[in-house]
Amino acid sequence: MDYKKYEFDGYNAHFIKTNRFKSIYISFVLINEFNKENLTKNFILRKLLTTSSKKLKNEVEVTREVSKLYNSGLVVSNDIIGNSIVTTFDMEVLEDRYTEDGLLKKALTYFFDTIFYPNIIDKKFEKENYDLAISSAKLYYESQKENKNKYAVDNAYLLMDDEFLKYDINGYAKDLDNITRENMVTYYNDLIKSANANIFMIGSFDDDNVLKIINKNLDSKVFKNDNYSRSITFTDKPELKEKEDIETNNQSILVMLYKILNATKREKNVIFPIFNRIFGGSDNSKLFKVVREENSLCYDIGSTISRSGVVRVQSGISYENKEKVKKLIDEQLKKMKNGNISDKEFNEAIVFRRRALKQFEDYNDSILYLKEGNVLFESDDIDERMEHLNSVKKEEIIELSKKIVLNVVYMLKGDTDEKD
Amino acid sequence: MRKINIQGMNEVVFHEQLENGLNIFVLKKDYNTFSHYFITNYGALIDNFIPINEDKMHKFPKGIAHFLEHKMFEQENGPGVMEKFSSLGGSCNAFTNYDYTAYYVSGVENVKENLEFLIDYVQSPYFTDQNVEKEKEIINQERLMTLDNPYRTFKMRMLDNLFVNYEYGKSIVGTKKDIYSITKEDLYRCYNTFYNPSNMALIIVSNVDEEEIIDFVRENQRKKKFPKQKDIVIEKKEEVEEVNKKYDTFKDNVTKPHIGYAIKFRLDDSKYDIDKMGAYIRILLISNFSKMSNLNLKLKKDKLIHGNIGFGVSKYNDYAIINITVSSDYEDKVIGEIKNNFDNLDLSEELFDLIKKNLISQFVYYFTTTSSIMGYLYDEYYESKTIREDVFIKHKELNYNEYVKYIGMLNFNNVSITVMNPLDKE
Repeated sequence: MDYKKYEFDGYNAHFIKTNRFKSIYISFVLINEFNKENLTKNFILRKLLTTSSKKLKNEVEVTREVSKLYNSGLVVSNDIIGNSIVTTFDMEVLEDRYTEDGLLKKALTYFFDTIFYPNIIDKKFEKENYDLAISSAKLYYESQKENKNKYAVDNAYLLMDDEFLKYDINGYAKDLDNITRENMVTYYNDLIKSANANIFMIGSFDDDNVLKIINKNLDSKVFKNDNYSRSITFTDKPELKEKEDIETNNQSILVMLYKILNATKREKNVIFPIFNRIFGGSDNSKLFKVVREENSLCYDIGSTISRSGVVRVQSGISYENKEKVKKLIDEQLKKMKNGNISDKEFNEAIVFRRRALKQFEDYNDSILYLKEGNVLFESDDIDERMEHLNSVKKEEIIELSKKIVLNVVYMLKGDTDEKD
Repeated sequence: MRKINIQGMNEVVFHEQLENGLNIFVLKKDYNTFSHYFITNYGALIDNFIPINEDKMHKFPKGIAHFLEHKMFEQENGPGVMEKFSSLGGSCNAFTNYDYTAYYVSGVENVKENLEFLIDYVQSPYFTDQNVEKEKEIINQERLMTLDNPYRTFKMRMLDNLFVNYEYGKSIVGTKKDIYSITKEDLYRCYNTFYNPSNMALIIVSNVDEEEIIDFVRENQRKKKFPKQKDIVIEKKEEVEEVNKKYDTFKDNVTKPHIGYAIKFRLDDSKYDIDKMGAYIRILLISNFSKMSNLNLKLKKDKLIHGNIGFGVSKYNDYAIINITVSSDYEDKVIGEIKNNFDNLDLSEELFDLIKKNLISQFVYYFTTTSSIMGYLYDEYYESKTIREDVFIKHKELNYNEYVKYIGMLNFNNVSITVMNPLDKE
């Protein structure tokens, strides 16, 4: 796959050229300085931009337009990385040869119209769509408790030492009172003007034709502001916090949050995923084998790792087994710290990681996502990741395990009033 | 070996039936990822049948097909299934639905070795009193987990309210009592009846040549002996056209009331093509209930619903179910609006053309990744126990006049309403 970077005054364009896929994937990325106060505004803005625009007056018109474009819908998402908030606009378009001539051009026009020509009248977001966006946000906040797994995880994160780990990317209901149609316009304008802008595309397309459309739409609208920080530093002496809440649930949900202290870049990028595979990241992991298979204490147990360096262990269990499960989880981590990692576990984790990277190559959005991380957040690209795998040693996994510290034990206790 | 040309898509699936009756479907694609599915035509609905080598119907506990799926991961010798796949770089799992149980593995290396082990482990059951006992609490925890999902409960309750004799809507996992009553002998009787190759199929998507991989499976099967199996006698249930309950309400752990408006009708292939009917109903529902419909926007603007209208159409044996779901505090008003919309359907030609375009583009996306291809092939098998040649071309042939004619043949008045209220609602 051929990668090309085009530099312009206000932004950079990154193209990956390949015939491997039948569609073209586009990602427009804005990076701004993180501010907790803006989380809710971001959430509302995502809704406002995707449900109407200057041209398309409401959700019905937007949906019909997307249909005309063979379902090339636009998705907006946010992520907090270090001291930055990342806003990503994604769209996938079928190639012209599978649909009709000129589809990419029409889809790009829709894409940029949505981002740069919102439904603003007299310096205010249009009332009817704004009201619908606010109602939709209220509904989201009110129904947070319905997904008990997410609710348990959110509550667990609130106990962590580090402020930046507690933030909810979708904001807070209480902030809605301070949001108006007017201040959303100010916020939108600031977001665009103060961002560091990059556009990424993968697929088969003509660079010159596409660049013409991009330049026409981005020139003088976005800039290469570089006032954001990418680094993450944890509080280095975490204090263990434990909490239980009760909910109307059959099962109890246990969440344990660990963080890595003082990890090097190699440890975070290369060693961390291998550690996780052995610890709890698969159906052949230590946690799965011991807690489920040997002790029949749960149906699901697993660990996941976050980009910021948190290990999350989660399992649905019976409340009376809480201490037993906790102890077994702790023991597995201790074993890894003490070097109890077999050659088989180590080798399989490497094979698994290699497989995951090879599988990324089958998905255009995954390739683009890794490229974005490589360009914007100094993470390794696929080739570098593959290369690093060859040099990983078991001792590095053991050393990383020693840097992992338990910060939170949270239990969402079921009320045990079984409804069969 | 038979070539199945998916007409209009330029895709060819190879099909072979081995001497022992095993059906194999192979699609070659040059992606890194491979995917193999090994499927038995045995799911949660089948619990009353004549076990192989017996002569009387026997009723087994509910959830036994699912229990069996769990226990297939035990091996008598050598490493466990997960461990073995792990060493081969494969990632495996399984699922049980109402009609089938499927075991699958995907990966990027050792295509044949992973396939061989998938076949071998599913064809070598090892149940003991001890390993069956050990599994009961694991499955019970899975049961509790599903009970804690109110939207799943809502969906099942809607199905239960629609069907009088079919058991769609009953738990796939079974009750705690069912789970704890299952024995290793039960499992062997079910296994021996339904896991004969003549009742199974393999679907393979990989970058290996079709003939080569079919020969590889043939060789694997040649080494094993399976009893010749007669047709399996399973209790047959006839469904009636009436719905089980016209109205039902219950409470669960949700913050807003949810209303399910479901329409039941018997499919009639003597009057119309069933695949086309499915496509026309989808077009109708998207036109009239999706975000592109005026009703959805109106109900939101009038604050009658929270969020968007949900909708869908599914086939259950010889019946089809249309479902409309909404979250609303105004039950009567919203039910009235939905009914009114069905009485005054928008059959616009412009929307028909627009939505048809989308249905067709969806087929292009099906053939873009290994997992989406496997999803398509599995759905095809689920629907027809084979891969059909003409599904895409039928979608291309959809036309407006036929749409109006087909929709005119449907009766939208056979309705069942299910309401899920929050626990604290008086």
